[in-house]
Amino acid sequence: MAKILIVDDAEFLRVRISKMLADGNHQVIEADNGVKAVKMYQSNRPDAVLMDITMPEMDGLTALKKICLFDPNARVVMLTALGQESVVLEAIRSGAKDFVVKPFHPERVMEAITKALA
Amino acid sequence: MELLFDLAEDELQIFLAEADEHLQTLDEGLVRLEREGEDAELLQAIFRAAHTLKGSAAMIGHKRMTDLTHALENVLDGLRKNSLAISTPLVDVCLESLDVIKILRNEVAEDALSSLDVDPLMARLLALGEGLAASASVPVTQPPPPVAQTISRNRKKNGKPPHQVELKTKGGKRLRLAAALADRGAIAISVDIASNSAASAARAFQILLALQALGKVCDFDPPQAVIETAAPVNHIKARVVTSKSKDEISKALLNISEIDSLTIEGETIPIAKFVYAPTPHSAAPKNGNAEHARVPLVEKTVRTSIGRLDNLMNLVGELITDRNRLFQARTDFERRFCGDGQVDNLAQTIVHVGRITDQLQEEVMRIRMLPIANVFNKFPRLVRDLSRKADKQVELVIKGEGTELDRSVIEVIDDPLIHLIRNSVDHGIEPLAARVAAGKPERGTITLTARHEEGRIIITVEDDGRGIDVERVKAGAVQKNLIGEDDAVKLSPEEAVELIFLAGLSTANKVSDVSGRGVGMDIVRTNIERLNGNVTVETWSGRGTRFQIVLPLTLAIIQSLLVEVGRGTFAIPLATVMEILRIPLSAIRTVRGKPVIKVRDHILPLAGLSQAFGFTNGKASGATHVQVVAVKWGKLEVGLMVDELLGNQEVVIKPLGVLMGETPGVSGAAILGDGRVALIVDVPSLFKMIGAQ
Repeated sequence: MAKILIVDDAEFLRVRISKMLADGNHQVIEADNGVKAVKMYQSNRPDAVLMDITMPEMDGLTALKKICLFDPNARVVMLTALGQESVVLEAIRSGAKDFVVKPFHPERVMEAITKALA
Repeated sequence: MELLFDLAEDELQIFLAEADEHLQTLDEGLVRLEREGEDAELLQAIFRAAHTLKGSAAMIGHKRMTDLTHALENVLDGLRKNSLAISTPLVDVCLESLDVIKILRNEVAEDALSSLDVDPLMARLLALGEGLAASASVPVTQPPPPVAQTISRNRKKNGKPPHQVELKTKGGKRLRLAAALADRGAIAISVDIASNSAASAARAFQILLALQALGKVCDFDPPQAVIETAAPVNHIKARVVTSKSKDEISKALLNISEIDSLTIEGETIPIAKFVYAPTPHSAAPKNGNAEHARVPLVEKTVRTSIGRLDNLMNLVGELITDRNRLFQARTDFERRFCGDGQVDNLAQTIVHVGRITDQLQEEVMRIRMLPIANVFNKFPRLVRDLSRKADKQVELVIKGEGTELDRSVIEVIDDPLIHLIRNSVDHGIEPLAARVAAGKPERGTITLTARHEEGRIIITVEDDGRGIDVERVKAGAVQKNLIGEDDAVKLSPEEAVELIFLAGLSTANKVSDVSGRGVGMDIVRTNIERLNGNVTVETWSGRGTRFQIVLPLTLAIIQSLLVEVGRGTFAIPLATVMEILRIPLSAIRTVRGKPVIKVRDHILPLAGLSQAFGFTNGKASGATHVQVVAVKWGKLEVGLMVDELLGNQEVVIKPLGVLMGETPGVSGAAILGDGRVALIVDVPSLFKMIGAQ
């Protein structure tokens, strides 16, 4: 049972993902943009983060970098869409542990989370 | 029940609400973009809206919506990266796609597929996207980004690439050792990355990082520079010097997803497939908790249903009625038990409850209020479409969009406004040539304003077009037998222009396919009156036309003036009351057989409220004076003669119910503080009754 931070500006996706995570009996907290994500990470210290890339205020890549600066051991999994290869590459280079491509299946999310938490 | 799309019942509303928000952002944004030109922030916001919408559509498995939105996203991406330029044809296609996406959105709402074929539109969007692709740089290859920290471990001090190792010999001569020598003790690793990976280069990079963490990577193919171009990578061949065991190496590598096969030193490592076994939702709740552990976002706003708000409003209404009754009771008690301590206590409590009820009512009303921007924000697009179809140049100016109205009013007000705007574009604003000839600016302007005024909302729709041809309106009305010719002649211009609200009147020579036959105006008036509002028109030949709509702030509760007529009590909406007079009967004159009174500088026609409703005259004879309530509706003002004024009261409007049906002159009933029932006067309807007598 882990505490997982879901960051995505679409509430619909947050609901979807949190349902997937509930199956793994995880506790879920949410943020809808990069700025809030960083704040929530600092105050809540989740065990893992699922981070969308395209968001208002601050995008996922920037938030990832800030979080990794704050916590070099942060376990962040990026949620990406097709066509964001170079951003994903940059994210991995900046410390992301894994990525999942939308639209994603529950298996892929659970696999990524399980591996990240290992 | 199985839904067509991969969407649970509780997710449906969220999906639709967010989809609508994104569609609205796109709609407004595109129109603004076309008008105002390049705006990086706006472009980013629109792009994000399309991107997120596509993501959600993909999650519910709506293929056509996903594909179409994706094509739109690409066009917007092109705009964002400056490889495409904003042009009217481009915006046209984009707006058309939005309309189609809205239809697809409805498929989700109704859980039914439409027969819509999105392929033609897709083709046009794709063509747009490719149109200037030739001028864009090759998308995938990018110059290698600056060296990151993790790479430095790979580089030898002399900066040579990793697969070539150099050693300094004593003589300072650099010897290049064969790769094989340097690789002595190195382990050969070969990895296949899943061919359907969306970012295989990132996987390759993960593999590189993993190997670097295990030891010294002396060989890596494809080289890092190639990986950093983000081009797809299918196969990795590497050699690493490490003290770790094969198990440790494979464990590290297999932690990376999307690896199809792994070979270490020629040995194929079996890859255990990740097993996902979702617990069925009917399983016993974990931790004794019925709900799964989602802690929703701490938001500063609350979402609730409109039904709940309506319930709240009803309850407040009941409370107000009871408050009125309590006030009445308090007066009675105080009169009867003057000075009694307990009665005083009760009285004070009642006053307090009254105050709280007032505040509660205000708060509930505020919760129900929405800025009229919710209605207005659809109009720039509407005006754009209408003016293009009519081949005219029209600009829409909006003021006061922050003005708030009750939700129930907002729901109904957009139809009449659309009619008025349509008429302005179609009949009001002149074609370019005519405007230029008249010395007017090429662009016609429609101004839409909203403001508060003493418990009412005033909305105006004004254009600087040709104005309404009053003579033609008169002629048309006469020709259609809506008014007699002699009556038509007697009408002042202000009265004549009101004829446009008559049903069956249309001065358009031919049916314009956008606004139809002009049957809208009578319906516009009816719909607004149903909201207890009114609409009037003013026009100036050659200069323009202005429509003014007046609406009450709320539909359910009104301030009223209570009057007694015979044995009945009536409530006249205070918003319609201009003034109250007490006049001597001797001052009443007759004009054309109808009683009137001179008030300051104008003539006020009089009508007995009793007679208007057809009561037998119950007024006591011998009275020298009569109470008159001057009531105004639109441009008409009438002095209603009543027996007695009972004072102001805020009342809750109760519908008369189906048994009574539509009663002329009465719009509802209210329960007064003393328990009596007062009938609420429907002023426009009453005026019609008076006019007919």
